[in-house]
Amino acid sequence: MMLLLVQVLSIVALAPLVQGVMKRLRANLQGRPGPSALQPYRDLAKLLNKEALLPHGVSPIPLIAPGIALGVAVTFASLLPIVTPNAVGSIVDVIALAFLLALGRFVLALAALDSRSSFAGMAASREMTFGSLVEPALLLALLGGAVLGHGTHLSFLLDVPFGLAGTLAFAAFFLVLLAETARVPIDNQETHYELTMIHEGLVLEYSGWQLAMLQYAGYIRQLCFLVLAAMLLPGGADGWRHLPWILGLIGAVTVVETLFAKLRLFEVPQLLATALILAAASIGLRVLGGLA
Amino acid sequence: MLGFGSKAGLMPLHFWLPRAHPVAPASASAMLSGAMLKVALFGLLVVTLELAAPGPSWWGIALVAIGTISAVGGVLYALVDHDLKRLLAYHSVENVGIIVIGIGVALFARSAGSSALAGLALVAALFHTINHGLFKALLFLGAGTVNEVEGTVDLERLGGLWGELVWTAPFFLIGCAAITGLPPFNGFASEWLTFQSLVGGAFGGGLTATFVLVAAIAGLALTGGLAAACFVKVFGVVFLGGSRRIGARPQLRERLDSSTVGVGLLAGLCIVLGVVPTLAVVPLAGVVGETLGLVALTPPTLPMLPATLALLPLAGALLCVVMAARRGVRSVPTWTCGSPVTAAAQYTATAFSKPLLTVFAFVLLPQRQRRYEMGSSRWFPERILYRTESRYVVDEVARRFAALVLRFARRSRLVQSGSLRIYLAYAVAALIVTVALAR
Repeated sequence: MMLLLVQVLSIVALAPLVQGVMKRLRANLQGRPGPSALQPYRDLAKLLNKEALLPHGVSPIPLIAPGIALGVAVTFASLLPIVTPNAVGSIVDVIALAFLLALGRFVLALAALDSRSSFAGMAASREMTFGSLVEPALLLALLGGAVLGHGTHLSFLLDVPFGLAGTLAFAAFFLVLLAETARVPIDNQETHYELTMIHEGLVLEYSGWQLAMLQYAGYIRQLCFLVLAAMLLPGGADGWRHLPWILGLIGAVTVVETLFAKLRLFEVPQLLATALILAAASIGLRVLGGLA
Repeated sequence: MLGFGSKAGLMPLHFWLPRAHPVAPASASAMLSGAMLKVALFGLLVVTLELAAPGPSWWGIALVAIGTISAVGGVLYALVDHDLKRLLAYHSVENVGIIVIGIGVALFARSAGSSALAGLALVAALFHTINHGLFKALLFLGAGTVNEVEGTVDLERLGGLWGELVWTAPFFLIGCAAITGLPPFNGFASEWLTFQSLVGGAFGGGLTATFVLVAAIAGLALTGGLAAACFVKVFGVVFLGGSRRIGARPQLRERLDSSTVGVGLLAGLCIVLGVVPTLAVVPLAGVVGETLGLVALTPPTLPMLPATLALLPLAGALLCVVMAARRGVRSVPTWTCGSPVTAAAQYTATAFSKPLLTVFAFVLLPQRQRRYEMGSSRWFPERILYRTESRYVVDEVARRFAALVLRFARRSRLVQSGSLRIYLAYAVAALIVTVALAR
C-alpha cells in the first residue's frame, strides 16, 4: 500500500516535467531553444492563483468537470502495474479502464456543450467521434497481451512474451496513445487555430484554477499512457523494469510530432482503424501461436 | 428464434420497433421498451436453453454475431436520429443486442461444457435486462416530461431545459450515464460482466469462436463509445446550453410531484444497483444455478469495482465545489470573438453527429439536400436550407417485402367477392375435390 502511494505520488509529481521535456525536445528538434522543461510547473502555479470564469447560466456540470477529469487521471495512475502486487490494479482491469476513460470524456464533452460556444461544441463532437473509434483499438491492444497472461488485469501484460504479436500490439497502442494524448498527427496541443483543434477546443471556456486542474489531468493521463505503452515493451515480470522505455517513447512521440503534419480530420478514422486491425492481428497471432 | 428475435427488435428484424414505440404516450413507451421486449427475450431464453437444449454450439456463436450487429447498428441509427423518443427506441435495439450477446455466450459456453462461464454470461444478460428496464423507463418518462413542457421531442427545437426541469434534468442525466455504461451506475456493472464473459469465451474455444467473440469485443467497445457520443448529444442539446425555442413562453420551474418522484426512484435504483451490483447479481446467480444447474462464477472483484472507479472522480468533483465556495467563480458571457451570444450559434444535434455520420456513411447512407433561396442579389442567398437524412437499408427491404405481400393479397381478393352464393360454390367445389382425392 505504501509502495502504491509512492507510485501515484511520483506519477503526479513528474507528469508536468514529462510534458516540459517533450515540449523542450520538440522545440530543439525544430531548431528553437524552447521553454525550460520546468515551465509547466510555473504555468500550473500561475493558473492556480487566478480566478476561474464560467459562462452565464451554465449548469453545475462545467463547475465539477475539471475535478472529475483529475480524479479519473489519478485513478488511472493508481492502477498501473509498476509496483506489483497493486491493490487498485487487481480490482480495476483493462475493461474497467476503458469505461473509466469514457467517464472523463463524457463529462468534459457535456461541459463543452453547456458553454454555448460553437467552437466548444465542435470540439465535443470531434472528441466523442474519435473517442468512440479509439475505444475498440485500446481494448484489443491491451486484451491480447493481458488475457493471454490469463486474466484481464493490467499486471498480466508483463507475463506475455514480446515477439511479432507483441510488436503489433505495441504499434496499435502507440497510435492509441497519440490519439488519447492529443498529439500530431491526430490533434495538436500547440494550436489555438479554432478549426483544427480538438482537445484545446473542449476546454476553451475554462480559466484560472479550473484550467490548471484540467491541464494537470491531461499531463497525468499522458504519463499514464506512456507508462502503459512501456509495459507492452519487453522487460520481464517486474513493472518498474519497463520504465526506462519511457525515455524512448518520449523521443518517439516528439519525433513523430516533428516529422508529420496533422492529418485531415476525416483521415483520422482510417488511422484508428489501422490501430484496430493491428491489435486484432496481434490477438490472431497469439491465438494461432497456441499461447492461449 | 426468428419470431422471438423480431419481437425483441433484433437487427435485421428491428424495423417495426423505432416506429411503434415512440408513437405511444411516454409512460406506455417506457412500459413497451422496459418490459415488453423482455417477454420476447424470455421466450428466446426458454426456447434456446430449455426446449431445444442442448442445441448445436454454432447457435451461440450465431446469437453473439446477431447481438453485435444489433448493438452497433442500433446505436448508429440512434446517433443520427433527432426525434428523442425514436432515438431511445433505437437504443432498445442496441441494448437488446447486448443482452443477446450474453445469451449467445451462455449457449456457446454450455455446449462447450464450461458451466461457470455459461452461468456468468447468463447472469450478465439477465442483469443487463433488469438494468435496461430501469434506465430505459427513466429516459422515456423524462422524454415524456420534455414533450409535455415543450410540445416537441425534436432535438433541433429543444435546449437549455436544465434551469426549468430542475428535477427531471439531473435524473435524466443519471439515466444517460447509466445507459452509456459509466461507472458507478448500473449499466456499467452489467456491461462489464458481459465483456468478462466474452473475454472468457474468446480465449477458450475454437478458431471460429475466437474470431466471432473478439469481433464482438471490438463491436461492444465501439457500441459503448458511440452510445457515449449519442447521450452527450441528447443531454447536451436538450438540457444544457441555451433554449432553441421559437417564440417566448413564461419561465417555469418544475415541482416535486408524484411523476418526478417516480423518475427519481428509477434513478436511485440505477445508482444503488450500480454501486452495489451484488444486490442483483447474487440472486440472479442463485436463479441461474437452480433452474439450469449452472454455477455462475462472478468475478470476486465485482463488489469493489464501482466504488474504486468512482471514489477519486467524486472527490475531485467535491474539491471543485469547495474551491468554488472559497474562491468564487465569476460568471461572464461566453467568448464568441466579440459577436453577440445567440442560441443559434450553438452546436446542434445534426452538427454534433455529423462527423460520425460521415465516418459511417457506408452504413447510414446519408442523403443531402441543399436549396438556396435567392433574394435581390445573385451572390448572397437569403436563406440556405440544408437537410440530411439517412436511408435505412433494412427498412427498404422490409417495405419491398410488405409491398409484395400486399400485392399477393390484392390478387387473392379476386376470389373474395363477398357474395355468399360464390362462397357456397367454393365450399361445394372443395368438397367435391376432397372426395375425389380421397377416393
